[in-house]
Amino acid sequence: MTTLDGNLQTERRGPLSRLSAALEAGAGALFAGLMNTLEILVRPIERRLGMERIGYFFVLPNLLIFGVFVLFPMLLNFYISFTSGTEIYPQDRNFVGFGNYEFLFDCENVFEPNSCNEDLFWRGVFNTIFFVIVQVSGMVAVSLVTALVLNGKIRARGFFRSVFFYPVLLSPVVVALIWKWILQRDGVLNSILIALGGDRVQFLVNADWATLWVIVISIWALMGFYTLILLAGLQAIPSELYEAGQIDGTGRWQSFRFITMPLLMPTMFVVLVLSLIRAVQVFDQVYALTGGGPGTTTHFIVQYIYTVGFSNTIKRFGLAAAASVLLGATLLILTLMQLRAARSNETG
Amino acid sequence: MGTLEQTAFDLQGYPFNFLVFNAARDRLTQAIVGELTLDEAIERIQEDVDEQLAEQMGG
Repeated sequence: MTTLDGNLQTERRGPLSRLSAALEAGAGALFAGLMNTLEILVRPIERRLGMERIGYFFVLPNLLIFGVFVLFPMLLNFYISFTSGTEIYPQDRNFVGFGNYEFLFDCENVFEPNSCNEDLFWRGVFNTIFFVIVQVSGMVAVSLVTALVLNGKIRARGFFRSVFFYPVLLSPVVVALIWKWILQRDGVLNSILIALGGDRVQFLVNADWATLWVIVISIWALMGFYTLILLAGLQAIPSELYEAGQIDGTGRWQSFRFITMPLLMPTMFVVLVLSLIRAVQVFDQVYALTGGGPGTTTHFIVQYIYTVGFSNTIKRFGLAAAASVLLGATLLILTLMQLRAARSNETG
Repeated sequence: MGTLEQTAFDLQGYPFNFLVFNAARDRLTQAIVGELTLDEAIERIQEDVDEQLAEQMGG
């Protein structure tokens, strides 16, 4: 009887189902074959290393890639920060100890970049600090408001979620070129202003406007990513809490203040630290949009490193490496903060 | 007919002339937007060129 049912089912199957079954069987056989081959290769190594140490064998390829492409360049960069000259090979470079660091910190007054030997480094530092403070606070606020709106019952919710995430998929240079087209002297925005009877505004030449637009564009380009994280955090809050709040007579603001915010705080902290690290690394988008100008208004620390180490006629690798070590140390501190926040989030 | 100073003429063939051109462009822009005075900008141009040449000579 079973065989008859089986035969009937086989006859009723279409060609696509038969193809799918054949592919499934083929993939199964291939997987089994691969596993058998792997076992033949791994078994002798396992016998030699023992069951407890075989894990190291499996992580070895990744460790090698990490070592060659991440760890070795980092150590080399650290060494180069103690050398000077334009030679590329470490053995040809002059060892100057902390000379590059002393040069960077040679200031009469650190808060007055013009009094510093390397004024562009300090301008980059202060511009980056200002950018980080304004951009990160703006980013968290805008992402939170957007996440709250998208978490509500609005029309075309899926469409808006995609729209806000779309700029994240664009390359930073593409984002910069789109906005340059809008903001330049004869750009879209000025055309609209003139058509409405207003005056032309030099958005990328005026220092205040350029700073404002660099921050606004950066928030626009990245807010979709942080909105998504906050949206996930909002959706993890049990709806029973809001229902219980309603029974107790809480208003919208009270439920936001006493239910949403405390439960969203761990996610908010992750967003804060992630956006902080990203903001410190700002470079490509701004470089393509303003080139660091006007003057040094949008000249950030990564651009200083790039200019000194790679774009100047004479490449000062030692100085660029010293500045990047200082930047790396700052990022390490921020990353440790993020790890600590993530750990405290896991333990509740 | 205008004449060209010998220094300006020689600068065209100077191997590190872009040190001077780039430093002049960057520092004079800073003077235009008010980050430096013109005197400070000229001092910085000289410093930028000197520092990079010193690096070229081995730091």
